[in-house]
Amino acid sequence: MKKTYTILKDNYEDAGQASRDIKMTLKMLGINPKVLKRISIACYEAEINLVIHSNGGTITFEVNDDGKVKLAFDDTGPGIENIELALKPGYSTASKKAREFGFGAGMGLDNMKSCASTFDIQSSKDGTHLRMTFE
Amino acid sequence: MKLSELSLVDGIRLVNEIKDDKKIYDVYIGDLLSFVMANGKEQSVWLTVQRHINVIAVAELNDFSAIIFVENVEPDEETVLKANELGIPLMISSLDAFTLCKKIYQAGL
Repeated sequence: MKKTYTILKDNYEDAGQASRDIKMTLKMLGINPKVLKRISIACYEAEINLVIHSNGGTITFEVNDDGKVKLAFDDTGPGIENIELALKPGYSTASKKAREFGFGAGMGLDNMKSCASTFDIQSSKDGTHLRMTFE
Repeated sequence: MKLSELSLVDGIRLVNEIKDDKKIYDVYIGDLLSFVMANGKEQSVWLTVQRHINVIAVAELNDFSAIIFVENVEPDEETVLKANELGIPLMISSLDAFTLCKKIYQAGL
């Protein structure tokens, strides 16, 4: 099965809803709770990044027959200037507003990387494309 | 400890109704959502000063049993509405997180 969600820039009110829907769907499919927790963390972090850093984008969620879960996050920019730095725990470019809400700890990408079985991120000013798989 | 017992601890008041009297096994204190996401354990009660609606998504994704807003922080209206919709118990405490933790511990958790 495959499902796509549209994520809007600065939509803090609905941030986390796609991750919630994905979690519920996987729970229904009977996925291992430990794997589900890893997926929930990574998915939420990536969804929040779309809201607070990107111009908006999509989340595509796919489950294969063998139970392997794929998550794809694609936005339309503005891109991550220095991915190496962005991956460093504690480094953040989040706005003052995002920080007031408790975001911007600089842990997002690091959290995703440690939760996912595979993690790939490509970024240019036209957009960031993140792929994660879980098994 | 059950949620109903937690709600009787001195210095805690309920914001909404406890519909499902779940057990709690742990407490997590934190205001930076990435840390809470990464380190919170299921069936914990979460102590925070974040009042924004996004705490509900974090609590749900972590399978927390309840949220307590410490130091008299009042959750935003949207936060309460969302919590009601999803059945997540919210409480407020006048105490700071450490003092409240001691009380929860003394009450048996």
